[in-house]
Amino acid sequence: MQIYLPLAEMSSNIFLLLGMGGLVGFLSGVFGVGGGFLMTPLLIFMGIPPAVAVGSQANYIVAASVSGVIGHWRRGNVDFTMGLVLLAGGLVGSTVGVFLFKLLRGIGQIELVIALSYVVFLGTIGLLMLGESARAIIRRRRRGPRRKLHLHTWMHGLPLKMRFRRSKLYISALLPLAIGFVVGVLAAIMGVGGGFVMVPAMIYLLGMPTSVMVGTSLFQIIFVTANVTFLQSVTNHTVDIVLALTLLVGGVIGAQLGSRATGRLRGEQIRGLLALLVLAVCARLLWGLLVVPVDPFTVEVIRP
Amino acid sequence: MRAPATLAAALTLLVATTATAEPLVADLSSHRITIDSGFTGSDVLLYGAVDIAGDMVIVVRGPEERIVVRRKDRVAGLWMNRAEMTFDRVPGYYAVAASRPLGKIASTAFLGLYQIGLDHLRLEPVTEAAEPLAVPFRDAIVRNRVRNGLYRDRIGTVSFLGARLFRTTVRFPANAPTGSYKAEIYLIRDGQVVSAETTPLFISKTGFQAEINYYALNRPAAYGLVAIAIALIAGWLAAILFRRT
Repeated sequence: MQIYLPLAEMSSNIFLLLGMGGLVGFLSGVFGVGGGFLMTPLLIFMGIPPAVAVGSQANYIVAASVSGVIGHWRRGNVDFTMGLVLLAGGLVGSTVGVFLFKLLRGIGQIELVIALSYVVFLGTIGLLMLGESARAIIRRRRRGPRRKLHLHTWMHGLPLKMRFRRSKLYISALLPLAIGFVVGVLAAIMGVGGGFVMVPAMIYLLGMPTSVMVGTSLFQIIFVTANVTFLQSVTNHTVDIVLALTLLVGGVIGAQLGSRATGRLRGEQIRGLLALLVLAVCARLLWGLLVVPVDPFTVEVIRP
Repeated sequence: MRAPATLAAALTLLVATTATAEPLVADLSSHRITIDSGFTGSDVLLYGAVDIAGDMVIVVRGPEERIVVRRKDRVAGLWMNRAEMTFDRVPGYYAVAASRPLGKIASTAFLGLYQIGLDHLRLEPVTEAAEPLAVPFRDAIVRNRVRNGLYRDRIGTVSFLGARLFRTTVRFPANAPTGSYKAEIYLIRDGQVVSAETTPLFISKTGFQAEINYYALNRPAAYGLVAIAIALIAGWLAAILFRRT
């Protein structure tokens, strides 16, 4: 069955969109990532214009994250204090990011920058996580001594210390603010919620416990993607509600199932699986940059 | 008894006028295509009658657009956009139908003059560019649009029913741009246009789709807020539904 997408100006198979929403929603529930890093390439691959894919899936991620965060919140796995500090940085970052997006689009290099950011960030994070979770799994098998919650470095000497009760942390507020900002910029440029950068940053830079990281990440993603949705619809008119709603129906169901599945998996297993997924997407995009294109020319209609 | 008589008279008159004044009459089965949520493309019948034996050529053009074409080159192993060219007045849709192969109907010069066939479609860059430089970019537009189904590379068939009535079907794909189209109908004999006619067609969005489009373009801030509100409610509803089950 086909459904017409008014802003993408094309029709698409409704079951394919529902299925994609469900799959990405499930992953977002399990990993605490919005799933945008997966959704955007999938939509573009289906032939939806990149700008519409980016704008619409930001709106979809708002819904998937709300649905996911409620599950985590009921189990007390959201650190609101931490979430709000990250969010403050995220809102500034995503606004700066949308501005950069417009600039790069004007000089015709947005696709390259998007692809390169995906490759660099997905590649680095994927490898880091894979290595860490592999070590963790091996350590568990050997039943060796437990690792310290987090290591102390120069970052812990920064001023403006704050207590984050749920995360069992007492660290400088500058750290989550900076992380929020960087993730916000990436979120806007790459058209994602930024969870796949946020989650590793929470683990490795902040040293947050696995239990609260997923819920807290989802919590701040809601607001960052809402900001992106608003800015995209005002500056580029690229939020297709019909597309977002279709993805959403599949996505919210998937997210619920996903947040239940989290309970059955151990932290390092979650991280290992996420790492593999991230690396797969990274490899696909790197391939696209390296291989000789089928048609070196691209055509874009300029709307008045 | 007067009505049939009047009708007969009118018909005679119609045939008479077409016979004397108009060697060619043609029309579309529909002048308006509306795009709704189930739109998957549309077929429009173009039909008419001719008074003189000859060949029929029909050219359908979509609304004109401004287009940027970019070319990728390899830089340090990566493929990135290196050159671009802007084209104006590029038809958003283009299709040709003919009663015989174009080469047998008229000369290349003639086809070029009337821009009949994809090889003869004139697309010129906004800024003056040397001919050999612009050609690959022009060809890229055609190639891209043939791939998207917006330009038909196969010449459609105009079929004759008897000696005078002709018909052809014009296919508009789901991704056809909205706006005004025109069908140019040529009656050609001995390589010259004997008669020509142009008939318009409009593609527009209707109902829910049109409304969404209107608000997205004209009330972007409100549209964005509504989109966010819908997403928040949908996510919340899903969480509630799943709690009960």
